[in-house]
Amino acid sequence: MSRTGAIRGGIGRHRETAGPGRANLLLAACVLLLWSQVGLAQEDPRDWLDDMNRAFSELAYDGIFSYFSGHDLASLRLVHMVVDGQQRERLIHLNGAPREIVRRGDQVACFVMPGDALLELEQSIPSGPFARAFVRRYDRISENYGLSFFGEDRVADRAAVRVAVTPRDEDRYGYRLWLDKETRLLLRSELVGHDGERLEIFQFNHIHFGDSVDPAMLEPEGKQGSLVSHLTLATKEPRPVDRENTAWEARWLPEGFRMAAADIRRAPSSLKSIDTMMYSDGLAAFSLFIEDMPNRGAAAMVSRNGATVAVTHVVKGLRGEPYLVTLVGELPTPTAQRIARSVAPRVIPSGRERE
Amino acid sequence: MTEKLKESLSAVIDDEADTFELRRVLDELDRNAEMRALWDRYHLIGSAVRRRGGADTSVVPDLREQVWQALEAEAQDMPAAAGTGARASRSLGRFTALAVAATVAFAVVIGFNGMGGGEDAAVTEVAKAGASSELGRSTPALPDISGTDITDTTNTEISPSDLQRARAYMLHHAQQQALNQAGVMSMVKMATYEAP
Repeated sequence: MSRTGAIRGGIGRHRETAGPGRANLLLAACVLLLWSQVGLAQEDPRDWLDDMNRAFSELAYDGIFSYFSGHDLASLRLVHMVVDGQQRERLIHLNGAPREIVRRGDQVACFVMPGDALLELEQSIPSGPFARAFVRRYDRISENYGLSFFGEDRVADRAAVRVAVTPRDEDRYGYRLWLDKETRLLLRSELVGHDGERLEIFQFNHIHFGDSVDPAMLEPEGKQGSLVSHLTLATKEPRPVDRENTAWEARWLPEGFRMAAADIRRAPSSLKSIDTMMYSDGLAAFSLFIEDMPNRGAAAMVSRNGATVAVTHVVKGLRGEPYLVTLVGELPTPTAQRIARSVAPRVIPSGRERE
Repeated sequence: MTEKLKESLSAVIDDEADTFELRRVLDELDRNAEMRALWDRYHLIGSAVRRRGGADTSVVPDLREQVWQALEAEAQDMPAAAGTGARASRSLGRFTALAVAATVAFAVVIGFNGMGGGEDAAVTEVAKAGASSELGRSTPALPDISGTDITDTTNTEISPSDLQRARAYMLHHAQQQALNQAGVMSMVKMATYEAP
């Protein structure tokens, strides 16, 4: 952070010393250009990503962004502000049925209009949905991805620095990020397939920061007839994973993927348990859901929505009984299929067998 | 409210009503607050029977709208039934009116299909990825009838419950991701998933 601060200070000093003459201006411009390029070359993209995370949770901003995934283009407004030390957020759908999500600290309320329904919004959803931005585990990310600057651009009428996150193998996707030069907030991101195809695009079309953000915009509209669903965020860190206790395991994993979370949850429609495991390489993630074969059967299938793929596959349990494995993640299809096929019951010492 | 109406309402919820009875009940629901309260209560009981915790009654009134939409869509044989998904819509013709209504209701109330069911799972052989197998026929008790009557779908057809399961898991994955690492994108994804 200190280095990036110095760059900004340096730019400011040059502005101050630039005289009124044309030659001086030109010289100043050249120096400025040179300085900024040298500065960027010296910088570590990881610092920028670090700043980006902070920017998401600390700044006041109000922007409209587009989110393209698969076949859908969504348009949303995001308002964020810290009020009395508490993060306040509001995410408003601008297309289709009116929907909005409002957060105050760990309290979340979802407003939906009849005719629409928030599917399966759980009683407890994770903390900091907006606050935790794109990347957290840089150390592990650099094992599996290369980070580099790749020029500058303009997004939402703001100067942006581009950062490429390039996978080191074909088992994961890459990202291109556009970070606001001034605030480091993520202005645009692209999730990129191996052939360069853009699978997901997130982009602010307009954004403003600081004092111009109106706190009143944090209040839900609560349109007449809208349904409200209140949730409390789980503020705790995820429970540490007891790998030895999971009943299932993926016997093949792409390089760098580790189990990040494991849980046994109940299907809302029955008390049947669903084993849930989540793996991550620090950036990409996939979840495995393993359940008893539904009594009406299930299709083995691959469905894809943008970068997210869902693969269903049938595996045999310890006694040869069939289980349905569903893998969901931001992974190339062949990788996802290979993982799903490798899922097998973990052979556990007798006496600890799963009910 | 007459006993006859109560019986009809019960029949609708128990998946035993015919199309005419269903329409009459829906009409009455629009007019009659007492009937609406009863409908809510029946659904709560239904949820309890399905042993689903945390039933949200505030969601129930909007079901009627979706049931209507589904009926309209079926009447016009249009593939625009509320939220059944593009692929599922193609097989709409095979549904009875009630099947459509109940499927929609089930999708909205439960939002997580294909998980319920009895102990004696009629396991079916599953075809290669990308193709669905024959689906086991089940006799539903409550409005859990999705998947029924698609038994004769071709090998390339994937049932609504398969799609719903995939979507529900996609949503859950987005939530898990938010918990573990990603932020805005997960939340946006979460917010952009619509009812199946």
